[in-house]
Formats: sequence, C-alpha cells, structure tokens
Amino acid sequence: MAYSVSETDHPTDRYAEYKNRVLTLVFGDKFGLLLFVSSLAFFGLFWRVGFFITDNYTVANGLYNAANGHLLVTDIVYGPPSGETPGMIAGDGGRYSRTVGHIVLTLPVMWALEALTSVADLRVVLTGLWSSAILATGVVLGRVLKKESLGRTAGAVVAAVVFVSNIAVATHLDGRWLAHLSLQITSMLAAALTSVLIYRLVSRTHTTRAGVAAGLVVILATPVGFWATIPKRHALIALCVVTTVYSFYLSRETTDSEKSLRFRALSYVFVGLATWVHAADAFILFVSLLVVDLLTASSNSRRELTVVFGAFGLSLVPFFVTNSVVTGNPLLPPRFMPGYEATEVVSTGGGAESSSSTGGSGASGQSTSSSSSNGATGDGTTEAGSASSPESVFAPVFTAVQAASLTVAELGSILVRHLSRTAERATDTHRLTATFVRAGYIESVARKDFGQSANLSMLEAMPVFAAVVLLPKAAVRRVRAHGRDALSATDLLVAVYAVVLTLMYLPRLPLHASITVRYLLPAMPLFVYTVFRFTESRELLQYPRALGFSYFGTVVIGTQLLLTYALMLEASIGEAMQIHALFNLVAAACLAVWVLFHSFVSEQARPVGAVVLGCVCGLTTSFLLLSGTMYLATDSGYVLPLIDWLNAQLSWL
Amino acid sequence: MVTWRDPVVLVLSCFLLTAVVSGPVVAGVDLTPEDRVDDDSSTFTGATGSVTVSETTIPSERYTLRQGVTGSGIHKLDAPMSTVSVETTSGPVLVMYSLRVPELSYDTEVFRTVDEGFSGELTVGLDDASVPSNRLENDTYRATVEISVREESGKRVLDQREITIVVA
Repeated sequence: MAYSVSETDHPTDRYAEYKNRVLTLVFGDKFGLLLFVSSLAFFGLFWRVGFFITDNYTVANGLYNAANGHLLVTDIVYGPPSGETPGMIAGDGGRYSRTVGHIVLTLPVMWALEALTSVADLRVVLTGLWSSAILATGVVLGRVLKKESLGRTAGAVVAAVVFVSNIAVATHLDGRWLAHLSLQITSMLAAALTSVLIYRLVSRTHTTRAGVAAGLVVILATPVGFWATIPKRHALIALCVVTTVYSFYLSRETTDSEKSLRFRALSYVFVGLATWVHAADAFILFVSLLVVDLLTASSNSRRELTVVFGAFGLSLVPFFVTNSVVTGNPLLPPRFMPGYEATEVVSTGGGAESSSSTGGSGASGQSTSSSSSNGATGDGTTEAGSASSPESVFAPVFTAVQAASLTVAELGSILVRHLSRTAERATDTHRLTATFVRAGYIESVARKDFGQSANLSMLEAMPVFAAVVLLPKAAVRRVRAHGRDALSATDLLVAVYAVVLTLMYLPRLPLHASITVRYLLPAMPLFVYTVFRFTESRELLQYPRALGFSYFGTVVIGTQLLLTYALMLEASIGEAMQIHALFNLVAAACLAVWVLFHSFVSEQARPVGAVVLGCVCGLTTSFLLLSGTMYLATDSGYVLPLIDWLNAQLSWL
Repeated sequence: MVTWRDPVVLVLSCFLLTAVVSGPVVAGVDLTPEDRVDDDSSTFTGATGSVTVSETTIPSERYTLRQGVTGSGIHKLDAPMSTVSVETTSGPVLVMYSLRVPELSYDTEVFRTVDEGFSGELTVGLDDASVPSNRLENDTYRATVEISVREESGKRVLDQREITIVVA
C-alpha cells in the first residue's frame, strides 16, 4: 500500500484527508452529511428534558451508575427511590438496567457533557450545540448548492440569531439531568444516522434525488423522529437494522468477491451489536438475515461461512461479557432475568447471593418462565465454580456445557411458546387492523393510558406507508422478471425482516404507551425504502416545486390549523391524537388511491400526486411537532429555552 | 484557509465563550436564572383564613355529555360556570367545586385558592372532565353539584344543587 509522509506534508492537510475519509465512511457524501446535521436540528425542536416513559428511568439510572464505574445500579437518581422501574432486573449480585449497549455507547457522551458542565453552563452548552447543528446545516447546504461563502455566512447569521434569542429566555437546567440528556443525544444521533443510511441505500439502488427524498421522509414523515428524543432502544435498533440491510446490499452489489465477503461479514457484525442493545430484536434481525443471506449468496463455501460467522462471533463478545456480568451466564441476556422488586427478603432461589449495599435485591417474585431458567443456570454456574478440584479436569467443562445446553433449551422453549401464540393471533384480523390501519379507542389499551386513546396505528402514524399498496403489483412484476440480483436479495431481506418482526410482536399488539406502534419502529425506515422502490413513488419526485410547496404549506399553515382546531375543541390528549389519526388516514387513502390509479390521469395533472405526497409528509411533520411540543410535553420542559418558553406561553390555552 | 474572521469560527467561538462565561468558572455572570416567570401565584400553605359569601349561583341547565373526537372513545362533560360572590376574605381559603354522577360512579372536584383580601365574583367550574363512552347507557343522568369552602374552622357547604346531564 502506497503510504508516504513527506517532509513537506502539512499536518493540516493530513488532518483534512483523515477527516474526509471518516466523513465519507459514515455519511457517504455531502448529502448524507446534510441529512445528518439537519435532522439533529429538527429533533432538537422537541427535545424534552423529562421522562416520557417509565422505562427511561431504568436506563438513565443504569448510565449514571455506569459513569461512576459499575454496571450494578447502586444509586437511584431518577424515578421512584425503590428503583423498581420497568426494565430494572434482579441480576447477579444486585439490580441492573437492561439495554446495556445503549448505556455503554452513551458513556463517552456523558463524560464529555460532564467535563463541559464543569466549566460551562449546561443549558448554554446544549443550546450552542443545537445552534451549531443549524450552522452546520447552512455550511453543508452552501456546499451542496455550490454557494459556499453564502452558506457559511447565512448559516452563521441564522445560528447566531437563534442562539441569542434562545439565551434571552434561557433558564437554569439542572445538572442531575446529565445521564438522561446523554442518552437522548445518542438516540438522536442514531435516528439521524438511520436517515443517512436510508439515503445511502436508496441513492445507490436508484437516484440521488430519490435517496435524499427517502432520507428526508425518514426524519420528517415517520415516527423515527418521535422516538429520536425518547431514549428507548427503538432508534438504536432501527440504526442496526438499516446498517445491516445496507451492508447486505453492498455485499451483493459488488463483483469483487473479497469485498463482497467483507460486507457480508459486516452485516452480521451489526446484528451482533444489536444483541447488545436488545437481544430479542437482534434475534429477529439475525433469523431474517441468516435465511435470506444463505439463500441468495452466490456461494456458501466453508471459508466464507467461517469468515462471516467468525466476525459475527466477535461482534457478540460485548454481549457475552455483559451477560456474564449481569446474569452470570454469557448466554442469558438481561431481558430474561426476573424484574427487580424492592423487598427486604433475600430469596433462596437460584443466583441470589445478593448482598448489595442498597439491600433487598433478591430474585424474589420471579415470573414462572424465567425462574426455571434462572434456577437452572444459577445451579449450573455454581457447580462450575465449585468443581475446580483436581479430581476431574473435565468436570468444569462438562458442567459448563450442561449449563449452556440448559440455557439454550430454556430460551428455545420460550421461543416455541411465543411462536405458537403468534400463530394463534396472526389470523386475528382485529389485531392486525388495529395495529396497521385504524387503532381508535380500544378499551383494554386505553385503560392503561388513563382512559386516553393516544396510540396510533402504523398507517395513522406514518401515512406514507400507504404507498405500500403497490406491493402486490410490484411483487408480481418482480417474480415475472425472475430477478436474483442484489436488489431482489435486499428486497427479500427487507420483506422477511418486516414479516418476522410483525409476527414476533403481534401477540403483544395493540399495546398501551406505544403511541406510534413503537415496537415496529425498526422496520419503518425500511418501509420508506420500500416506498421509494416503486417507480410510481419516484415519479412523484419529478415535481419538486409542487412537492415542496405542498409540504411547507402543510407544515406552516396546517400545523397552526390543527392546533387551533384542537384548542377549539378543548381536546384531551386522546382526542388530539385522534384528530391527527383521522387526518393522516385520509391523507394516506389519497396517496394510496393516487399511486394505484395515477395512470388514468392526464399528463398535465401529474403534479397532483406530488402535492398529495407533500401533504402526507407535511401532516406527519405536523404530528411530530405538535405531539412533541404540545400534547405530550413533560413537566420539566424542553432543552431549547425558546420551545420551553413557547410551551409555557401556550399552557394557559 | 480558515481565519478568525470566518463567520463560522466567529459564531462557534461566541457559543463557547457564552457557555463558559455563564458557567461556574466565571462568577457573577449567569445567563440562565433559576426561573424567569414572575412568581405571582403565591404558594398555598393551607386554609388558615375565613370567608364571607353573599351569594352562590349554580346554574340548573346546560349540562351536557358531548361525544369526543371519533375514535377517542370518550364523552366530554360540559358544565356552565357557577359563581360565588365573595364579600370579605381573611387569610387564604380553598373554594371547591364538585360534580357527582352516582349512576356512573363519577366524581370530579376542582379547587380554587382565594387569597387574603379578595372580594368580588369568583367563577368556578369544570376544567377537563370526560367519561368513557361505552359506560353511557341512558339519555340523561342525575348529578349533584356542590360548592364548598375549606376554612380554618373546617369545610362548609355553600350551596348544593341536583341537576340533569343530557347526553348529546
């Protein structure tokens, strides 16, 4: 490899080259970078300070303790002081938070913020970061439009203005929010990267324009934006899923077999990283990838499989290490452990030599399914530990294998039980309709949401999903064409993943506190990819002016009208959500009708389709903005002082 | 070449400088005060005063249960405002408005604080009340509206009225 460092080499040049290489690796090109920074600026608008969902307490407490050097959750800084929050598990020697991958990935952010707040004001730092995202958007936009100096100046002016106006109304932001804010930052970064990856995928499979449109749709017109600022696992899993699909596509696209193998292995690496965040979601991805990969690979030689699974095995190392720390068994993910219950009684059950300083971290109150597995593995590991006598060298190996097989058998039986339940419920049309088409008021769900029917269906939350009606037609076309190329293989992977994900979660859906079918969020960026796979949808992008005007019109005017309507009705949260649901459904129906029947319309009327798409996306953006800043606000306000102030001004309404 | 006159560098340095100046390192300058809102709503520490009331009016009509937005599954309770004419107030007291629908086992209460020295008309009514639609079976429901005050000497009912709620 040619590598020269000459005397004349300027260090800044080397830095610039290195920077360019990293930027290209992550963002692809300037369009990817533009999507990234602009989506961060957008997400910042509804960056809440408080906790939206009780599971967040667990992860934030986990991060706080991890930043202090231990995964064991000894200090509870958020939520109920008992630490008894959803997702807190009774692990090996005390309580632990699940979603450890998210915690570890966020550690650098947390430390950086901690360091910054020791010299600077937290609120001003975060406002400055957000204003910098706007500045970066200006700079990159200038570069894209080939008006670099104008972009720099305009970006700087706009950023300075928003910064100053924010600081004018800024209030103190307490440092105790640090852990939660850091988790939100990584979640937003993941959501922004998801849009970048969808752009890279679609711009490779189709045109740059389609790619940019798809990336924008992911940010502005899907619930990905909604969950970006709520640090659940969803945004991270969505990112792992799209990176897997993108790597898979690259592995099939290239003709170079070495390169192909590298990308093939890489797609498994992202699955391995996903296990660290959420094992069950990663398993769904793994099954889909494995089946489609083995089926569509040009060859499955022993060497190739060794490389692929070797890489996968290595990517599982963080997962195994976490499991051993948390559950005492590398194969048993934290999610299968019983929930933590604050009791003073230390149970006599397996795996509970709990003597943590907080006391009462026993494994009592285990659910039936996990108690048996925990018991089995607990016994297994203790035997393995005690059998280090010189009598039998193989005893530890034997007991370890026994424990592992017990764990695998137990995990298998959980899976079988789940699958049989799925099979039972997949034919339930009510459930499918409520999940995908119209949710409305469902008594059993609303009861757990304080009587509010605040949960939307897939179509209500993401009306652009309506374009998927083209699927049967396109599928028939595809089968006729007998494609076995890179694109077909990727389509197959996307389809299999979406179906497996839906089937695995269907028994639990519709569910309370899910707002936008959040369990299916990882598939939503892929649905955007699907939408832009259809020629009919891509044709709509030929009218950028109609699309742009209708989109911005809907966002600027429609948002105000929707808010006024909700205020006039004195709408409750459930009602406000249903107003959006109904409007989105109508928009979705229009889009579906258009893409199906547009061929009957004369050539001059074609821009109407673009207007429909613009309205569909605009309505979803309105939903993101209004739900994020008005309906579903938290008591502790927003990170951006201006949004905080606006929210307070409107609270009398 | 990036120079200090570059607008991007200039703005970024301003952000950093502001953050540091407002931070703990520079004493005396704080751009982020604890609370910017003028704290005119005094905190209520308990009903330690008493109140004299000349008249209490509870309207007898226009109580309706109106269907909410399609799909929200609720009926919203609209009730006209009631008025309390306060003559004198010595110390803080609580005015309570309650509406009970025994048939639906529904009960809602709204509190208003009244500070020392207040006199004049006080309007009280429901804020945000709703009932699940699927629990409604009749066309009308009997309900009781009650206005009471909590003073230092305890709770005192000012007025109580039987009303009819119409399901629209």
